[in-house]
Amino acid sequence: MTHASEHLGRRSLLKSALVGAGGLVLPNWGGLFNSQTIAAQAQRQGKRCILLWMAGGASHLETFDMKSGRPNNGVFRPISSRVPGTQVCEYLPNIAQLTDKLAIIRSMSTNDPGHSTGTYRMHTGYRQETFVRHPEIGAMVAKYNGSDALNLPSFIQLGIGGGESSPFAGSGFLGPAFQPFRLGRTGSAPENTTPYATAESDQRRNDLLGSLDQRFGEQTASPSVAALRAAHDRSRRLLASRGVFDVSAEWTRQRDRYGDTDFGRNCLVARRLVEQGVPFVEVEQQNYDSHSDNFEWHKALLPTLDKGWSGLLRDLDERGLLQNTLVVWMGEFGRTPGINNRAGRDHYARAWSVVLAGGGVRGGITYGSTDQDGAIVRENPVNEGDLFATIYTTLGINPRARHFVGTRPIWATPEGARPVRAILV
Amino acid sequence: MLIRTLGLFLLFAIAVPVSAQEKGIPAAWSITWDEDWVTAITFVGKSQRIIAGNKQGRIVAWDLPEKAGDPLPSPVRRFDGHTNQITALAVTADGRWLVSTSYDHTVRLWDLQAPAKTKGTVLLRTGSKKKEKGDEMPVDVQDADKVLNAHAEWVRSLSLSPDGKLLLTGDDKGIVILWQLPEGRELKRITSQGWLKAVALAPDGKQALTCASSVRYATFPNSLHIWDLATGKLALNLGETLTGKKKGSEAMGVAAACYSPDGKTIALAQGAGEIEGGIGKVFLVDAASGKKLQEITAHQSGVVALAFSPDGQHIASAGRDTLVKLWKVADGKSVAVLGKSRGGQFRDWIHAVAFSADGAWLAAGDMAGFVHVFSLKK
Repeated sequence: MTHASEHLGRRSLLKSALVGAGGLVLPNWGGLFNSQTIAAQAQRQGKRCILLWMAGGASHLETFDMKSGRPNNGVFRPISSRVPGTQVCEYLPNIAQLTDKLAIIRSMSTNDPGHSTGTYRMHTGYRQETFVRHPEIGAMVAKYNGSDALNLPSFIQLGIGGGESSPFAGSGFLGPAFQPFRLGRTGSAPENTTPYATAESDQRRNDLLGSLDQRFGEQTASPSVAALRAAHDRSRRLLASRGVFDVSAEWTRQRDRYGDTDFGRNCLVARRLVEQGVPFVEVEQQNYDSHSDNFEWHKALLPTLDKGWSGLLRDLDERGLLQNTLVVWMGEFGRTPGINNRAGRDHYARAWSVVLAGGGVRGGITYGSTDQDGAIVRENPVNEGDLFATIYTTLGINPRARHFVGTRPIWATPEGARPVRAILV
Repeated sequence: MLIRTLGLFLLFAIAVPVSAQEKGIPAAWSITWDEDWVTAITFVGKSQRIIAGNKQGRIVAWDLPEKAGDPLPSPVRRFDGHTNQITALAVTADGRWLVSTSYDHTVRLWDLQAPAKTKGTVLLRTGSKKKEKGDEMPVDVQDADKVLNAHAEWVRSLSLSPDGKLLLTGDDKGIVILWQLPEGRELKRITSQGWLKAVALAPDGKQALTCASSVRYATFPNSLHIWDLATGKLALNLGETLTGKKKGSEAMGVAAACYSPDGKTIALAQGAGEIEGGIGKVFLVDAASGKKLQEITAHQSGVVALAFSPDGQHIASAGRDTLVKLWKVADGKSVAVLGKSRGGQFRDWIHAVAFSADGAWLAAGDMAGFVHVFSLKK
């Protein structure tokens, strides 16, 4: 089975070639030649990924790289964790008990302190460019680890608020088949997905529409008809599986574990989705852009994060899913070491933290370090390309997988990107 | 003395044109200290001594000179023990006991009449970026006489009864504790909800005001409650009386609150910066009914601290706009502006204000690490 965006159909390929000859950008025709093999390899491994996205940029100094005793230290205090010598913020007590499963990278250095460009960079692994829209990590994972046999979308985003984190890159040059399926704050299926006809009536209507589409397609000879039909079929399959988004029956016994918040609920939805085979789910927690009242904001947000994240890791672990599910915690950047005079911290990308857990990474590791104030990386710098190479490697995706935009080759990760081998299993 | 001072002060206020008021009355002294946020301040009894606390958990006392224009005061004592930000300081009216609350989860009692046991230094900085110009001044050093560990979260707020025998403290778990002083014995505990940024004990000791607020999307609503301390039951929901809405879920975010000396009026400081969307109002509320008496548009981007003058005729407010303002309680009219706006994005906001016992001085601490003392004697 192939994806529509790879243009495997004869007409599709011809159309792309014609457009390319006209000097326009061709989306990813190079994927024809190597992505099927990579996808087959990745799919066999059955790896999944959940990205916990801290929109606005969580402070590394208030979470995983605290600087006790320094003048720029905030008002939070570090606590010991399950791993001797590894300390985390006092408002992450449940995560502190799971550090044996975490690979904490304290040496991220991405040099992009803008929300929009930073979000793009930390979703694609690439610096934003004018003429190329790179695919988000979710689209890449959907392409290589997704399966058309799945009734659900392969790239799902929950709790996406837009705002400071927009625009996301979406599927970029991979094409519309890998666009994310986005759900709002509560992660519930949209209201308009509730069937309004009986199953029997719906089936009759669908059969009628299918026969009309087929006849029309034969008359017009346009690939658009087939694409539309495919999209329609996927929508119907999604509707048939919409129950996975309804956590009400399970929520009663999971509420305490995940925390009674939208983020906690979305973490539970994420677990249910990967359990169903969805290869990539992103869950967003908003409001980390704490230019003012940094400590108030983090104090309000971290307990929610702590419960949702720890609940997710424990739940995945107990169900045997964690070994094949990579859970990534990151935002677009960290926050300034200095505290401004509005009690806030501003954007900072020179030194910050990202945390990985689960499938493919070693737990109990702290990789890299910053200086005494958390201002610069002291050892083992990791840039966005390295991080994405690491993530893709854990997911069975070749970081050097090549795509083409027009005649320009673009790899899954930028030139020079190297996986952080020290944290890989 | 007090009446005379305030009378002169009011005459001055009437005589000064509004435009001149907005420029602000300059401080008699601006004491540099540690280059970290000064977060709490109090006067000691009827003396000229002030005590301030900062974000690092340090507490220092200074003795003010007799009159404005005298040399900058030097620190005289350091109070050691807290390990995180000082949130509030108060001294019993007799000047004997200092009470401090902190993000380190503790409440500490300090006997101000006890001799200091050791000597140490206090680092004073010039306020310039050249930290090497900092200067260490010798001071006496004192440890706390009692450390009260009953709170399990940040202790945000405290309030003393006029006789100094009752202490009320509130924390970020929504726990309110009434203590007996100087023993430090817990008398009563009320379980509220949320971050108690302000608590106030009614002067008769019978009721307690609690104000909970947070940033948006926190897991608890703002609340403004008055509790009957005898029963521990909710006596009045100010969130409802002020907004007319049930459940108080629409209560404003309040950063500071206090009772007037006669207990008839409550002052509420609205505004926690972006949380309140830039609003910075002072509300004067009838303590018995919860009805609004005055609504004063006081500061840009949030009011942070409040204090009634000792005679209850005036109230001082401090805000994120880096100003201290004085208001007449009877009609809510502006009386004077102290300090000057530093512009920009309201940097160096004022964290704390306190009147001297005779109403002749007002002290304020700011985020830049200054303790400002204003003379109200004109």
